[in-house]
Amino acid sequence: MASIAGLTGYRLPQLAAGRFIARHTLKIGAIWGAVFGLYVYSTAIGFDSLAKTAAKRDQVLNSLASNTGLKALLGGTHRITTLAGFVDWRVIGVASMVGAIWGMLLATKILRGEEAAGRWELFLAGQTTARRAAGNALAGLGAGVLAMYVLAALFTAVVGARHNIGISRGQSLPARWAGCARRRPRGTWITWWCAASAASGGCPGVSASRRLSW
Amino acid sequence: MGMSTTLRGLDPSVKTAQVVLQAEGLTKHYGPVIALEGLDLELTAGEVLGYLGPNGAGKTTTIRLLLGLIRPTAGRARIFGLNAQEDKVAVHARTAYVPGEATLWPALTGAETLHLLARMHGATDVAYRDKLVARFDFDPSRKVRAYSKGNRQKINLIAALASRAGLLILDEPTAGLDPLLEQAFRESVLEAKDNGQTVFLSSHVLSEVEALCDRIAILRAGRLVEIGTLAQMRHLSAVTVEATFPGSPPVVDRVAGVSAVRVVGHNLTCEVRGPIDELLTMLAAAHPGTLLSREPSLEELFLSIYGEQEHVNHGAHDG
Repeated sequence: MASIAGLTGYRLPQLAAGRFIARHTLKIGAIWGAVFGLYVYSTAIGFDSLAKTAAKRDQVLNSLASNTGLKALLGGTHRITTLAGFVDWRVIGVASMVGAIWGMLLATKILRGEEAAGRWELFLAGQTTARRAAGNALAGLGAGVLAMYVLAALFTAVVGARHNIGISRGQSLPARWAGCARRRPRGTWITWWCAASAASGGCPGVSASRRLSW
Repeated sequence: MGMSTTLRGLDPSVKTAQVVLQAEGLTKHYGPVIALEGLDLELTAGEVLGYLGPNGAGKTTTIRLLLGLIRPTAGRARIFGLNAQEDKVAVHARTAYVPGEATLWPALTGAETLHLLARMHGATDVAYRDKLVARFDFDPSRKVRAYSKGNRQKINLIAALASRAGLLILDEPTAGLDPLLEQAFRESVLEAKDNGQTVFLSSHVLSEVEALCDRIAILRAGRLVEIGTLAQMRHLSAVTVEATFPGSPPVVDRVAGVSAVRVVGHNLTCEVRGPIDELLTMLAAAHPGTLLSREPSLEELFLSIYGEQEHVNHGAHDG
């Protein structure tokens, strides 16, 4: 391509949309990661105050574990009478729901919302195609989710390192949470997230790439 | 600025007029609705084309087809010799687009938006961008959400013009701009033209098209009904004649080529197509006090094509 004097070129313009969306979602993902991390912390330190005695606490926790409604909502339990098991059950159950809703809203805003506002056309008028732009948007969304995941895992590792809590570093990692998902009857973090991203991110993403190719 | 330099997308070795944009039978149907039908169009380097038509005539559809944002039902478009559908990334690298709706990201500042648009396009002339920011009297430090519609449109215009792209596709770019800034816009388009850039200007502002464009294309219900220079269009259209007489005006209805005759008191107004001699002879015989003939303005041409003149004729006869 010929060039004119004074022209400043930018590298990889085809990734500009993804970078822009990632920058936006990273901030929000980090905030939610911190919120979930603090939730891990508050749940852990609140464990002892659930009841006056350990026996009473076990009774309360076992009744929670056998509650069908809570099971349906938050998933099954695993060693719920231990601090790690309680934190695992409560945090992953609540966080996966909140995370899924957040993911759905964010994905809808980024993919469908941008298109409805007419801004998607500006992306598509750049050096990209509809399919590549949708891929960029999904990658940017993934970056935000990753930020949330990493920060939440970091908080969990830091909180878990306290000797009285006893969540190991390995248990704090997303891989461990994936293990939790396999163990639980309805699945948790990963399965919730997969379902949410498929419903909220994937569908509008594919729709965006298809719609604009009428 | 940059007059001797080579524009992006144009081959400097070719001295003859390079075809920048070519549409062949470009058609778009949405089910039974005809958005665009068989558009044939050719633009050469350095040309400014005014693309006119009322709402729903197919202007934005044409632009979306040219940018490869939608697929044509039939026909094809080539930009810089590249297929607008299959080579859209390469086409977009050489094309800058200003959409009609100035919707931008509300949380970004004007400067951040200009930077983002430049990144998406792939290149910008920073010095020229700064010059345009001053010319359009634009404050880039504020958030987009705080800008008026006109200011948001300035961002799109500045980003497109600063890209120095070989083809500028502008979809009603001055909507929301005040008259002073419209002057800045005209100056910028003429600068781009002098620089060898091609401009596809879709507009509702007929005075703007009249002032800027080398050729004018008029679209009606998805079909191209007229294309040519303003002079060519005027030649095809009627000349308006106005005369005042000391007594009753002569009856000119039966003179060949005369239409839209309107008599109010001692004043006569009519339109004439083709040779004007017979009409002038008849008017001169009635010793007019004043006699004025003028070519139609673009607005009159536009209205004439859209059948408004017929409406006026009926009105005159009825009266």
